Amino acid sequence: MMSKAPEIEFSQVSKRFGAGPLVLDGLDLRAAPGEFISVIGPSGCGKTTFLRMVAGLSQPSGGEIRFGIQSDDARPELAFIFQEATLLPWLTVLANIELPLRLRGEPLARRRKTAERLAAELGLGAAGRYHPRQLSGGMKMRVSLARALSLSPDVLLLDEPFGALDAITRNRLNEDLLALHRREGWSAFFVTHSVTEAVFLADRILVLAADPARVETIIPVDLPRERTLALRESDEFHDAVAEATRRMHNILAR
Amino acid sequence: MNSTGTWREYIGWPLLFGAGLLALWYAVKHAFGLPAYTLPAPHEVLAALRDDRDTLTRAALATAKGSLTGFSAAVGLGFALSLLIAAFRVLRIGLYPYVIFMQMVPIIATAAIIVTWLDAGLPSVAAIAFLIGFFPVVASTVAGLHSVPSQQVELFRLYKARPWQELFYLRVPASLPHFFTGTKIAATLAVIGSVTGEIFAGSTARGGGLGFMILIYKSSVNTPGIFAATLLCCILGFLFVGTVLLLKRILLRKWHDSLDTDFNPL
Repeated sequence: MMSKAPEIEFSQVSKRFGAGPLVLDGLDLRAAPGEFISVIGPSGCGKTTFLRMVAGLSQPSGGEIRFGIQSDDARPELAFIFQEATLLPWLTVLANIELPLRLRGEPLARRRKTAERLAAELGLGAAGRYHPRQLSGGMKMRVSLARALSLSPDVLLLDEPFGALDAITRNRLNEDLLALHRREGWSAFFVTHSVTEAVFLADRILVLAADPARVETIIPVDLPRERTLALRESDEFHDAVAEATRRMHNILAR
Repeated sequence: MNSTGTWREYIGWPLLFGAGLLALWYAVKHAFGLPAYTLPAPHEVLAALRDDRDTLTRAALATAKGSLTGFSAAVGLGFALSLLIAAFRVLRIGLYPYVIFMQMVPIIATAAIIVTWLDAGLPSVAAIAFLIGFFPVVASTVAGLHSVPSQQVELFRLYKARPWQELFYLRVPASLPHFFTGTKIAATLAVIGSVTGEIFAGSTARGGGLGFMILIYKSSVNTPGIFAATLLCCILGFLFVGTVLLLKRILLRKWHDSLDTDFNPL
């Protein structure tokens, strides 16, 4: 079930809160359908604000975010994944996954089927009847991902979702996320603090800077789309990370 | 129970302390040579309980009935008003402060007023038990309905949940631990409220209740009787609170971790 990911165009998007300083200024970006874009930058550079504007949780103060014309519906389906799993503790894993469908009024039998399929795909098959407090951090994040995918989104917005996880869990989730991306073809904006993670996941990396807020650069990642554990250990990957790090430091040090 | 304690400890120590307190009670009575009408010995209280068991049983049932009626109304109507306050901003701003304010009204004053309005007997008693429990239920439940983490609220907005969905699928379940805190307070106060009510408004004609029995015993200087009736009040209150905690455990055990502290006053 390939999604109909739209082209997303940002023109001169800026944001300030009240009379405060700009937290984002002059963002121009055209994201191709199905493109995976990592967003990186120091704290306070407007990464989360950027995601929230794409999600419609916050309105730009200036400029415009346009979604390319879709075949049937005007607005693409967006899913947001927070830093924390944000699960409802009183619901089981399956009930958490199917929550968005329940809110849309899908009948129980149908949404349960979707939830069970997603749970299986994300390695949660055996945990379906558990409650969130019985899960590890990584498992919770998998539930959060499954919930986001339940609506077959066109665009996935991820706000540093794996930041609190240990390295091994994080790498596993990165791979699983890419496998899902390859199969389902949604576009993704992925905020992270880790250059390695940004490079591993993305087609392009959007580098934001603070004081003053600005778009520093957009770094293309020149790696094959098929990315696995093996790639992670290759010289090619290390070079790409080193290159991205060097470019970021050069720019941010200016 | 915390992981270092065993059930043996949790039963053994209270029994030991109970025995110590009883010994202290006897010691004080004998040291000062106190007669039964000043301080009855524990066995004299038990004797009073036995001698008047029919009357006291009837009285305890009457108090239980008044408490349960008032308590049920407090929980039911309190929860309903909380939902309205959560759903309508104007109620939250306009009415909620008075709910907080009403908690400060001394129940004894309320009792005096209620008795002048309503019939003596069950209506007054239940009304007082209701009033004393209602405001804590509303205050806690409203606090619970608004204690939902903002990210969960955003999640619902993101998924375009309707206001009623946000209320019933998110706020109500999230508020249950708070609701039970209020309900537990209401359960304790319901018995206290009933007994207060009975002292003002009990009557033999309609089954006086334990508060009324305390008045009767007082007028005949039957101090062991007062102790016996008071003991029954405590047991009744304990049963009420125990039932609420049991319900809470059944409903929330799977997802909430405050449960382990319920029986632990610290």
